[in-house]
Amino acid sequence: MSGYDAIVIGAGHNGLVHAAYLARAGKKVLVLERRPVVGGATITEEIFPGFKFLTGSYLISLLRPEVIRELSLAKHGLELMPLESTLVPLQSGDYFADWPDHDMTREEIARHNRRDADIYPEYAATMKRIALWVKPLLDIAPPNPASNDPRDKMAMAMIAERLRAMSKSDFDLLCRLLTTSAADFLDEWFEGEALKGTKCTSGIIGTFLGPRSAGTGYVLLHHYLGEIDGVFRAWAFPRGGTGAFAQAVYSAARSFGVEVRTNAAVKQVIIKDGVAKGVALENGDEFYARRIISNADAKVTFLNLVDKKELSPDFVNDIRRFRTTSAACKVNLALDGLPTFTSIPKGKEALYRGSIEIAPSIDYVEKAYDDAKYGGWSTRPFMDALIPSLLDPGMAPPGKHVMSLFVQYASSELEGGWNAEKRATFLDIVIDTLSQYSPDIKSKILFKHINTPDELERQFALSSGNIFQGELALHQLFFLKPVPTFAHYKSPIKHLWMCGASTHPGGCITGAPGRNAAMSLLRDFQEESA
Amino acid sequence: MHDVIIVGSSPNALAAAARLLAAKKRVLVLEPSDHLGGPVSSHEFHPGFWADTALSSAPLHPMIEQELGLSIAVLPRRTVTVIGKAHNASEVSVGRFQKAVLPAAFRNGTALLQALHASPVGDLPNMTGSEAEALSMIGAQLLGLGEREMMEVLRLGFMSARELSLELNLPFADRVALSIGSVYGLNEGPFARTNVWNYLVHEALNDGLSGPQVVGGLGRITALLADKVRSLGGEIEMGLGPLAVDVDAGSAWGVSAGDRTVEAKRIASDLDVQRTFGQLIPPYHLEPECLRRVRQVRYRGNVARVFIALRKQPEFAGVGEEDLLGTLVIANDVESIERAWDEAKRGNLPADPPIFVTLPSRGDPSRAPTGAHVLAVTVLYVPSGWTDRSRVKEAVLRLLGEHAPGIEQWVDHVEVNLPVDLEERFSLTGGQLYGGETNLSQSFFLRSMPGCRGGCTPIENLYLCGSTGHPPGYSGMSGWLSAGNLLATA
Ligand SMILES: Cc1cc2nc3c(=O)[nH]c(=O)nc-3n(C[C@H](O)[C@H](O)[C@H](O)COP(=O)(O)OP(=O)(O)OC[C@H]3O[C@@H](n4cnc5c(N)ncnc54)[C@H](O)[C@@H]3O)c2cc1C
Repeated sequence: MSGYDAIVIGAGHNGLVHAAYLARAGKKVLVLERRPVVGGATITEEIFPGFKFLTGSYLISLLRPEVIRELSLAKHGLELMPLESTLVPLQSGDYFADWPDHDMTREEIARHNRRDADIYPEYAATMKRIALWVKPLLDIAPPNPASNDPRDKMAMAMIAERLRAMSKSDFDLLCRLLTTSAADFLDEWFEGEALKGTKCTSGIIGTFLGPRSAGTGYVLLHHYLGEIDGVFRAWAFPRGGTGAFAQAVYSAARSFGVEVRTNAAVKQVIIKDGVAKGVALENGDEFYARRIISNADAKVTFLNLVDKKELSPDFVNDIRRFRTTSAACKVNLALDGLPTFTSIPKGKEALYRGSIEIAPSIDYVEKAYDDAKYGGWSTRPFMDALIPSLLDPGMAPPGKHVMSLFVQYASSELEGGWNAEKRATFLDIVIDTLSQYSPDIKSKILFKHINTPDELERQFALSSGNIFQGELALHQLFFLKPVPTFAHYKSPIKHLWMCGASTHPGGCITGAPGRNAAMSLLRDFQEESA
Repeated sequence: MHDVIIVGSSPNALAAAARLLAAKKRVLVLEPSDHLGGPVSSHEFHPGFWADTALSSAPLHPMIEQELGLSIAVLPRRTVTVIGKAHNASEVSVGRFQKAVLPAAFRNGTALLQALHASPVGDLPNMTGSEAEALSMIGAQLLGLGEREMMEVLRLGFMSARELSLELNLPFADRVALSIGSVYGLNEGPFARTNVWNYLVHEALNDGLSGPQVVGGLGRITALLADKVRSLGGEIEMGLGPLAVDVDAGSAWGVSAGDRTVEAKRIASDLDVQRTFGQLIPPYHLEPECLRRVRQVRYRGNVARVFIALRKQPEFAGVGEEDLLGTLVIANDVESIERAWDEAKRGNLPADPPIFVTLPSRGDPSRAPTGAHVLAVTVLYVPSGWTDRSRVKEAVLRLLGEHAPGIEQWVDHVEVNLPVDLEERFSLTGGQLYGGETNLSQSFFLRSMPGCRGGCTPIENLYLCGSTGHPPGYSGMSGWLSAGNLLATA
């Protein structure tokens, strides 16, 4: 069996995006996915009959608009419903809320702290300028600063040019934001505990650090790079859950002629004379192609799928030290009815439709980190809750609801390791914490489900369960991502490429690694035939 | 009229004075307090017992030492011995920090930082020709390492001491020493990213755990520099009390002490940004945006210095004679250091603060009466506002007692210098020893504060020349570079 131009290992959203772009350019592409379903960590699963659970990702923000456009995802069924609000219930019984509408948010901030409300417009405008500046970097293959290749040199010159075009104060702010902690950064702007509590969470999502640790400023910026329908920093829920987004990409890919096989776990990349030729499946089948592209994370790809003999010890060491520790969990609840959040006043019921964040202050989140960082879990975790069935009634049977909870922190390096009992104990902690804000939640639970880091690893083949296929950290960013000198989607093995979230610009539903890798690979094909 | 008045007298200020004098400028150094040198000074904390008050080491930059023809006697670089319990170990172990086995990136990174520290910081991204030239030379030095080593150096400064220790699988003594060196002077724990940068900064300054001891005490550096300044025709006055810089229409023109005003064409402040723009100059001279930047500089000092007069040389279990010439770190594993930080960040004194200890009288008998000894203890994670001296004293004596049994009976006197004391004594905001935390986010062109590169300030004719600027520390280099900049714009 041959004749394929490319084989993509993994049908995560990046693998599918990648395949779609290659096929759109006329390449013959085969995608092989180990699971019975496509989507990777971007998936909707009916774990409890009638209830659709978001067992991985749950919201979309960083998805590159050109991916939606170029793959005509709307035509393939993608419908994004912008999130209407963020609610932060406070321990005092009051709440803090945030809306896409700037003036409403400002008024709400003023209710808590007048000074914060005065400075907020400037903060928002500044972050927007910085994000607009950084965004184009998401769409390029990182240049190698040590290389003499004219293409690298041109890209470096382009970046330098853009830097010079930035105002001096924005440039300074960008540099500080990248290197400082989310808490220190926010302290420079705001006083209000609740406001800073919710803002700091952008700095810790998927990151095993607390808001007071340097390194979280960069993560905060990463989560500010999104937009939905041109609305900066907005988050949206795709009708049908994030799995429906993956289905839209899948449908687009197939429309371009991509062939996708599920239940097709790759066991090994077939390498001959240092060149990747094909893949061998667990079931013994072999497929051959001109290029092999892995959507699996860098550790899985090079430590599990490639024979170590084919790699230099330096490279193997680089991959080993690629950091993937994690502390994120995903909880889904099937509910008999809508739970009550006591801090939501009468007349403000619309707040149920937004995200509900348990992050009343920086100190709360920091404490949650401190509990977990020595191989434990938070006794009072940070969580980001959503009731998708309010946005899309199709997510649960009539009158019933589902709740999705993104939870931190529970260590991937739990003392003594994870097991079913510990998973259940942590799930109870999550629900206990939630019931402090929603006392009737326990009585509404029909079924509960948790994906702890070990489960995320087992189900989605994510090393240490890291939700971003590797930590968002400066020392493994841009031209250092996933490892130094292999940040351009290529690998030391000729014709073996990468296209997953382990590569630039990293995790989240973005489509960017898949698209960028496709652009580079198509050029590679072109050069080969020239 | 003076060409330049310098307010403050740390080695940075005096190095600036010397460079200006050599360029035939008329220079007056005004020191508000009754001692010279700022934190680079020694004091007699008990009759016959001398301590280097704020820092255990602060060498002058070799280039400045040479340019000024000074010869400062220092002992060899200190060895670092770590005493403590490894994670999960039941016994205390004693080990040497084996710096030589760290990867080449450490040495390359240190060399690069040294080059950066000796070069004027350009106003990135828009630099003048000479700044761009200086930076491109450092860029060439980086590229010269070759692709792989260059990348290794670049990633180092972004990492946390903890993740680097794990990555390199460092033995106990090495990971503890690396952690202590990385968090020293920062308001951070070893788990936070980018703190390895701070380790490299102190390596480059040669004032970290292995920084050498000055024979005759740190005050010697200041005394020799002051002599040099005077011999070049500079004037130095001290004990003046609070000073104020006189500003008119956004331009500085003199310095006042009480009723007396001295005029000068330029003023250079050795104080940190906050003190310069809070005490020397009334805040209303600054634009609101600039004042905000002043307030954003972080100074959460959390280092206390404790001095102990001992009647006899102490004996630490498992520690050899020659180790006592070096630095002893007393701390358990990386996790315990982070736990100490967990306490400190909530305003509490950790039960077991990490400490490092030197015995200056061991290599330099002039520091204590014959047969007696001075033990200098640097205590990490004493919260910046902490005022209870006795709790710090107890903690230190208990920790020492655990590893040097019976030491209490030889103690004649203990002096505790909390961050608040260091603040008061040396005009250091928050007791921060370097005039601003030395994190990556407050380094290079972001130091002293964004928009104040090369010692320039928003006030015309006013410069900064202290550790608050680039580079941090008391090597004299910040003053030297600032003086160069002042001369270039004169
Ligand atoms: C719990 C959780 C919550 C998240 N929340 C959000 C969110 O709200 N918003 C957001 O933007 N992002 C979120 N993310 C991150 C986001 O889901 C990921 O960054 C993104 O899905 C990565 O996509 P990918 O295609 O690069 O990789 P993956 O989704 O990891 O896909 C890789 C695919 O490769 C397959 N594979 C691996 N090995 C093999 C093999 N040997 N053979 C065949 N196939 C193989 C895997 O099964 C998988 O399908 C979340 C992630 C998790 C886990």
